[in-house]
Amino acid sequence: MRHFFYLHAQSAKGALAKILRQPFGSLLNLLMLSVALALPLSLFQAIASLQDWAGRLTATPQITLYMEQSAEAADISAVNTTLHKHPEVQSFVFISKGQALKDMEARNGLSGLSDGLGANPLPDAFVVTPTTLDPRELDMLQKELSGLPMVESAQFDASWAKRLFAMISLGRQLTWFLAGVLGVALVLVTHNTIRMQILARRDEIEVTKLIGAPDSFIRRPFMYHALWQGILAALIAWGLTCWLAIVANPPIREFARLYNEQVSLRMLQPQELAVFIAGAAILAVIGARLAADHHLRQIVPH
Amino acid sequence: MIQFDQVTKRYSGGIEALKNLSFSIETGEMVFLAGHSGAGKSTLLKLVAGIERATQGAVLVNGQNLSRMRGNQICFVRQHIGMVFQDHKILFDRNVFDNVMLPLDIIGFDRRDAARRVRAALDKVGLLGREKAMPIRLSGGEQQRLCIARAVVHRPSILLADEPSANLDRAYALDIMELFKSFHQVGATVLISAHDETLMEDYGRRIIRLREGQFAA
Repeated sequence: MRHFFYLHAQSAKGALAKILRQPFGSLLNLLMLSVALALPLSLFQAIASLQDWAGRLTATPQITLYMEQSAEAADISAVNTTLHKHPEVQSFVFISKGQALKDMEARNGLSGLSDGLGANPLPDAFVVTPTTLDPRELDMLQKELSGLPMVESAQFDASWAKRLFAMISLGRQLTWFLAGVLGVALVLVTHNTIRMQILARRDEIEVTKLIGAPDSFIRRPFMYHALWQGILAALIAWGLTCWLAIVANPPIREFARLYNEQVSLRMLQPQELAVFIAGAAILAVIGARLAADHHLRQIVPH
Repeated sequence: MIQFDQVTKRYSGGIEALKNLSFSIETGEMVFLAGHSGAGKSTLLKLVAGIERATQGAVLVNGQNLSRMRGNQICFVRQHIGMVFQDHKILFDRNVFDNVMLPLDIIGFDRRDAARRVRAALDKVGLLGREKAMPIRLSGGEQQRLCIARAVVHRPSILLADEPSANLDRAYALDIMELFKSFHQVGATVLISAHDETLMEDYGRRIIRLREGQFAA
């Protein structure tokens, strides 16, 4: 058993040393793999960042109830009580028409607007936060609330949110598609690397076979080579996306600030990074195994 | 230990290297294999080592029928065989020590014991002082002895040597024969092929003479 671990450690060490010994040749290979990995990874990063931002935006869908202009204080308190008792209402805020006008003046820099208008054209409003997030239940709640006495309309504008989510889900599908295609590329590139190595070390493999080495013994260094290659390529790809985030974040933040939003590309979380590296390593090992199984069989003796 | 039962080996192209050959070699025996080149000596040794498969008949080594074994099992039979190849089959990308270490690595020997054994084997063939040398720096005779050291380092029960004395002058060839004799004396079954019969006649051992894949009269 100790020997088993010793052999593995030895193969792992030898394979890494070999990659580092030919820095130029290895680097070209690694860069090719890293770029293939960096594409889906950066797309993933972008989509995840967008999703984070969208989540912050629409985590609390709100329904706005606009009262009729003629609504009295009694009508408002009636709606107030109904909302208090309603099981699907989590919370609500009352915004009086006077406050709404003041907010509007302050926000848009239109001080003195009310003086010019004479009468306040804005209605009283309730901003309701429902308990549910389900679009259909939200629709029903909206209809129900719009039927309350002296409520002119209940607005729940979800179409832009729906569009955003559709875009995000499209982006996510694109990410997985790219990840799939480039994952296959990773397998093929590793397959080719290992195939070349096996052919280059044909004599050595033949001799070890003649001396009685089982296939697992012969395969081991190649598998470790592929494993290191996968891990290193994943790390370089991660480095590339980090660099992208660092370079791209200032302009993105600047752009988002114009819309009063805070958006930035986020870095991968540790567990995401771990999954990414493990995935790349597994794909590389699969490619190596396929190459080894195919080409070792062709070297005599069998 | 080694048993051939009506063994025929036909290579692709229809050349029959061995024709219906039956014989057996007992455990601990030392046997010479004689005949001109092309007589089938190398083929016979390759069949014992499982490098080639018999077209017909059964080759039994240590009671195991190699003809019936799958490829991934034969390697374990090979681990009990030491083979001195005609073309040495030395790896030129590693030094003398690592070349001899290879069979022990394959079997899975404890690292410290292995180093001791490698030095013992190198000492036996007179290469102890050259363990760090690269094989390309060795003379033809030294390469031959390196190959022998690698064949015996894991103390195989069977030692096969394909023309170990070819291209060596007589004194050197005798040295090498003495080496094989000493392995035989510690219990190994030894099978040596050569085309020069004068060398083997001095030893008074059994000689299997081949001609065109059959026993020569």
